[in-house]
Amino acid sequence: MDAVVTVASAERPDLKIRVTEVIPHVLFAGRTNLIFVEVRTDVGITGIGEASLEGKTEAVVGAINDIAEYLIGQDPTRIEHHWQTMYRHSFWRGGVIIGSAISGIEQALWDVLGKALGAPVHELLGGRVRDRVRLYANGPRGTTPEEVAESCLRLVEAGWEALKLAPFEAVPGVAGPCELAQARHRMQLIRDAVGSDVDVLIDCHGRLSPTAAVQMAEALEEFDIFFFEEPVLPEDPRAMAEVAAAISIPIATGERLFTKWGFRDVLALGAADVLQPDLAHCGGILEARKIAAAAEVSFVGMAPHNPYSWLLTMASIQLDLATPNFLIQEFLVDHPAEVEQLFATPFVWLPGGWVEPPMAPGLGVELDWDAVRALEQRPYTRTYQPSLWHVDGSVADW
Amino acid sequence: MATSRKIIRVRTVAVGAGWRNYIFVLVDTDDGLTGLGEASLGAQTNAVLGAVKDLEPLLLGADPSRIEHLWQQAYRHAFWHGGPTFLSALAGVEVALWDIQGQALGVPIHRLFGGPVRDRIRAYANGPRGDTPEEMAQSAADLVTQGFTALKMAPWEAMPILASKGKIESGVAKVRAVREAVGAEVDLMVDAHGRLSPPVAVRAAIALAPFGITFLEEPCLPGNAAALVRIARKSPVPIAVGERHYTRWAFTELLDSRTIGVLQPDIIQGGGIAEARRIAALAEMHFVSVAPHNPWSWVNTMASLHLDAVLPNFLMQEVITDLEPWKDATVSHRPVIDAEGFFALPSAPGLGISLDIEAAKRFPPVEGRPPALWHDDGAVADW
Repeated sequence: MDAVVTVASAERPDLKIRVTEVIPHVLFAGRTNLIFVEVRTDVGITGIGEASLEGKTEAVVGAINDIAEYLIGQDPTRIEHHWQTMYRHSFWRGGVIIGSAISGIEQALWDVLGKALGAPVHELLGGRVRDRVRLYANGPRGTTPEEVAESCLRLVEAGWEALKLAPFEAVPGVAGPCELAQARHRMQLIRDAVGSDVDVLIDCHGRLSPTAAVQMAEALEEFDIFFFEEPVLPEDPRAMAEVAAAISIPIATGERLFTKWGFRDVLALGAADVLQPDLAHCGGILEARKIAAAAEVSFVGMAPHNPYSWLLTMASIQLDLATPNFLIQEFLVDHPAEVEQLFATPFVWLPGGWVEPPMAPGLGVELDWDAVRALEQRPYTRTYQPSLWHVDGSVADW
Repeated sequence: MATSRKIIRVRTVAVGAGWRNYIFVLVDTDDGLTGLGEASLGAQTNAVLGAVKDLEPLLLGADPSRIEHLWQQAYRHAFWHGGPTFLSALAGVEVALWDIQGQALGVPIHRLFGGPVRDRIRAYANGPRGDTPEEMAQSAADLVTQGFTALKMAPWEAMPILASKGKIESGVAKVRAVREAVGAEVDLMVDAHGRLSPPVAVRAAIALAPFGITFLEEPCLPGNAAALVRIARKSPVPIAVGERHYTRWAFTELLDSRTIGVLQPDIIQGGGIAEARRIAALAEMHFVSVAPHNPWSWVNTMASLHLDAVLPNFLMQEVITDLEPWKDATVSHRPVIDAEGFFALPSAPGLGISLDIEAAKRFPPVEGRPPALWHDDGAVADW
């Protein structure tokens, strides 16, 4: 840290720092391969960011390498300018692959800047607007309704007050009496297990048709659902808006929308009450901050998507602290120990699933680089995606 | 059709061509067939090559004739749908699968899509080129001599958010010079390349109208359909758009607006031949014509010709005419236009073109950033 502070206080850092290397790290562990981006500079500061993307590891690594060449020799503190160059000069803009590459790099640039200035990233985004951050557990697991309810209860016993689960699998375009009864049964068991004070979030994962989404929302109305995430696929925001117009459960969406432009129609159409940009895909921290500002205009809240490692969790918390319309932060509870061991800096937990603001410079994440290298050196695992199928063998959306 | 054919290998070949690389996908089967597709995406070489690799676990061992089923799995089971990088990789694979299927059945791909609805396919040249009106005019005259009856040019570079008449005129002058050089009969199209703001685009369209412009392409950036619709309502020139709209879902709002004249899906970035066919069917519902985008190699040109053959609402086919040495050298043969500016229907089984891998090695991939435009103050401008 000493060297860092010297740089910041000696002279304008933007005139002094240059990017020397941009290195993607693929870690073979956990639910999906993790992709970290390391941005090295000539003053000894290293920034890190996360660009993990299920099923598309090689593509994201390739995209990072495509961009790396541009960044080397550049001043890492011109974050917005580099974003413009990375996004706009590609001509073939956007999409989740280049979006993830840019996002990981962008987080790393904020990390560099924060370390250079000796400030946590939230202080560079206008400063804290809250004293602590509420997290929800992406965590209940299980195959049978009873297992899921039991898993919910365990999380509540561990102190969580907000849980998210994905109760639907392959649902036909119109839900029949069996599907509706099953959904009600599952939710009844969960409510019975956790009681009425816990917030229960439902992730539909885009698996429902607009018709089935309305049917399901009506069937589950009485169980006091906190929000209904991606009730339909995000490709046509007007379909989402039709669902929003028909149901009373608030709608959340956004993990599969990228950049401010991707969110525009959702806001204009009133298709969602909560936006969930993922800071590893949407374009990064500053892009998410812009999306949040647009959401604020429409009285829409923010719940950043994050089923990834604690690196992205910390980047997200930096944004959450500086964002007035922040609602709740996603947190994956069941990383394997080998992933948790990558992180030398634990969260400071408060009761009920809240965390204290991180005050270390940059993103506030220190990696155990020996552990990183150990996972990197594992044999390459290239898994295709988990998948769902309809009963006749046709593809269902996962 | 029941088949025991299996995919045993997926190969990629990147060919260097100036600042960018052309990416080819080869899919090999256990009975010795090889399908060819193109997955080029400007300078995003490593990303696309990676995306093809990511598809390997799905493809290896699969029956190559279940093209739609594999597409569904690749697109929908991916969860992270679409985007140009992924779709380019998927399209390269998809076209290779159609190539295999056509070869296996002994018919050109267009026969698998309902058969040709026309006898020949009108081409338009992505060209003329030139920094001055005089250079543009000369280049246009050369293209007409080659047989082209339709030409598309991109006359503007970096433009401010509001531009004076003089700035707009810098591009209009090139269009005027080309019109004077080629006469009244040739179709002229203008590609704004998304470089204009909506108000500048409206003024530019009005300034172009006297020169008889067949369509104005991408007057503003994609990403905001409402902005494009506002331009289209005011433009005296029909609006064309689509190379940066990926999959059919991206087109629905534009089509519903009933203001767009021409859709330009690209087989590569649009996700393949079948997806482009579906986009064209949506366009047909709205009385909109289709002019497939194609600034790529002869491989995607051939794929586009199969598509064009079967589309009732086809308008004309883009082809890039710059005679870079790699283009002819890397393929078995090039599709050519006749004296009236038409391509013949493809007639060989499958895609009807193959890659000369040994020749391709003479043009190794380049490391490079895409060409860039900058505003006067050093800020990024859209290329």
